[in-house]
Amino acid sequence: MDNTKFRRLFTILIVLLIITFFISLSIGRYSNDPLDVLNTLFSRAGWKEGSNPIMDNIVFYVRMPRIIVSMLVGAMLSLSGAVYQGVFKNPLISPDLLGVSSGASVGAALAIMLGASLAQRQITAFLGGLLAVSITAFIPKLFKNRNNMMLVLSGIIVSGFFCSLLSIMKFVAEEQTELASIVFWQMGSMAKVLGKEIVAITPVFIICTTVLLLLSWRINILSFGDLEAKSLGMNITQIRGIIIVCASLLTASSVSISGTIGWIGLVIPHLGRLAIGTDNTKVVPITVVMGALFMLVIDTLARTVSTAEIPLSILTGFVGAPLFAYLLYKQKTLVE
Amino acid sequence: MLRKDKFFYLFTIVLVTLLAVSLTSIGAEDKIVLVDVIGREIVLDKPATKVVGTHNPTLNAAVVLGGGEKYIVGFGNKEMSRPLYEAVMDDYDAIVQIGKGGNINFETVLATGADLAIIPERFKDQVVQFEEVGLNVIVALPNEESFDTIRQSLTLLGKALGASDRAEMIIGFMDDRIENARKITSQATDKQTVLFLGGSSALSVAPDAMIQTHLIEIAGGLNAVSGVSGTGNFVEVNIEQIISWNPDVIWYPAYARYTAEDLLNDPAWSNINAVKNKKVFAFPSQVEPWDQPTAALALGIAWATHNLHPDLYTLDEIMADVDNYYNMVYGKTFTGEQLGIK
Repeated sequence: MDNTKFRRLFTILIVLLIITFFISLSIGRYSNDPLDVLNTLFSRAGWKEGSNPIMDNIVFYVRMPRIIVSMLVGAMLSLSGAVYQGVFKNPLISPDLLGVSSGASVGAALAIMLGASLAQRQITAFLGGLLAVSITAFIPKLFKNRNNMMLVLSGIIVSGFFCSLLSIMKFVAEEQTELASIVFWQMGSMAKVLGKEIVAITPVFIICTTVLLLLSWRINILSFGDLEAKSLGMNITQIRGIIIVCASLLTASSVSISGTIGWIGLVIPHLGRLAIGTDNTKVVPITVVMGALFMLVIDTLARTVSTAEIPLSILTGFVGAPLFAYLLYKQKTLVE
Repeated sequence: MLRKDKFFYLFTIVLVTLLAVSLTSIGAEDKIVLVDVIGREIVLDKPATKVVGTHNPTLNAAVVLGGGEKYIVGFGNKEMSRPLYEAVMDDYDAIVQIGKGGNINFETVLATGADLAIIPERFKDQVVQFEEVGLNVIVALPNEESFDTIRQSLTLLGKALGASDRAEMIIGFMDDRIENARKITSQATDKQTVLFLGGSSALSVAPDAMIQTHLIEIAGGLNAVSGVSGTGNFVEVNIEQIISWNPDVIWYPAYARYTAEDLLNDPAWSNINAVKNKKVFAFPSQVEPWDQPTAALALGIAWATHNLHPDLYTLDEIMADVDNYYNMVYGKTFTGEQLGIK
């Protein structure tokens, strides 16, 4: 019965995602006519002659890369949020728990101040995120205390330190160019996404998502507690380590492309659990699709609602915070 | 006798009254009374001699009026216009940085011995803080930018610094260039749409309220941006919006972190008229920005007119204007190479 419900929900979400994909491809600041998009697609496929070069450029070089990347980023942030919440047995945890977002922000700010290209900025943001996570993972080893609480506290320390570093950089940054770039990057945007970002993050998405899907039933076991997991023969340190590495890679890759986007990694896993229950073998795939769908809708609004590009964190906050309140209301027994 | 005494007393009273009034008015004539751009009245006992500020376009008026560092004792952002300031000041690095933007170290301000702070309207919250440490403050540049606001800030500061004649001379030069641009563009047969990008990102654009719009219009163009409101700040848009506007010409500041090649080689930009026709230009200069609400905007007007109407206003004519300006203001000139003008 549960499996039937899961299959039905998963199918509905996939269909919704496909429909939303085509709606999103059809709307934008240049044209909102779906026929323009269909004509362009048919021309590319060789089924129709006489394409409009501007629409061709918009569909294939502007909208499609952005739509694909926004789905990937949404999926990756939601998935890392879901597994973090499972591993740490804490529903309030989000993907920037271990300092990834702060580290990535410092990496991006450094690149901006050094006048690096967009691609270089994405690489330094990714490396900054990984550096932060590495320091977070090192602190418990240094104190010879590897329990979850120590890791979470390390994440808070590292996030705080990198936030201070970022503040120094903002203070030193040139106001009219560097500071404006850093601030806008921090608010999250897909406006600068080109096709090569898809190539950059797709391998990370495929590999890490596959690993986490395969390990999802072990997250269920981890949720019983360390003693119970050990008694079932699980190597907790190894499994937890692999899960954290995959989730951190997913978060670092996403943040390096889009900047920091709040709420999605916290709220979407809860929505998934509300829909399908707490079994991570079902929550993980549902969260991936829900996250992709949510981010696609948000980014479509960000680029179409007004002439100015709306930062993504503004929209995810406006939507995510009330949604989270609603989810807490629905799960009030759990909260109690 | 009595009548004579009465006359004498009356005469004495009148004489003393006249003397008192003339003494008072002599004192009053020494004071400088100003009304700044937000309507505050400022009374200076004498012209200011030591000025601080953190907003480059606002502080630039004091630099221009002094022909260099004459009045400047404290700076904000020292990197913008560094090539110019290093050329016209004896020791630019020695000038103290009092803070950046809205963050000011008031102890540093006091240590400079400054007697006047000049700030833009967007930093008007600093007025109280400056006054508390004993400085006079003039809010010299309003949020909404225009040629009038530049005239206003030069006139205001000219009065505050006792350099009104110099302010008039510089304003006269700017008015002359505006008039010249109008004459030239009246002969033009078409109006091109121009997109002015921001320095932080190729996807940031100048909305109506910025001085860039006035620059474009006086040079005989039309601002390609529409539907964007905002005062004094560049606004982020997406590439599809820029494609929709489809500008004929794109200008970007010389201090931007990207180049014309970045846009010309980006496939997402390839269908825009300006990119197709390779009309993407860095707005001068490499010595100081000519696209900000400062006196050098006069040179920006000249270059913009040449860029849109090269047959009506040649490069040699621009360089003559540039030499006249820098000679008048600083007593020196710069080559086209130094300025980044081709």
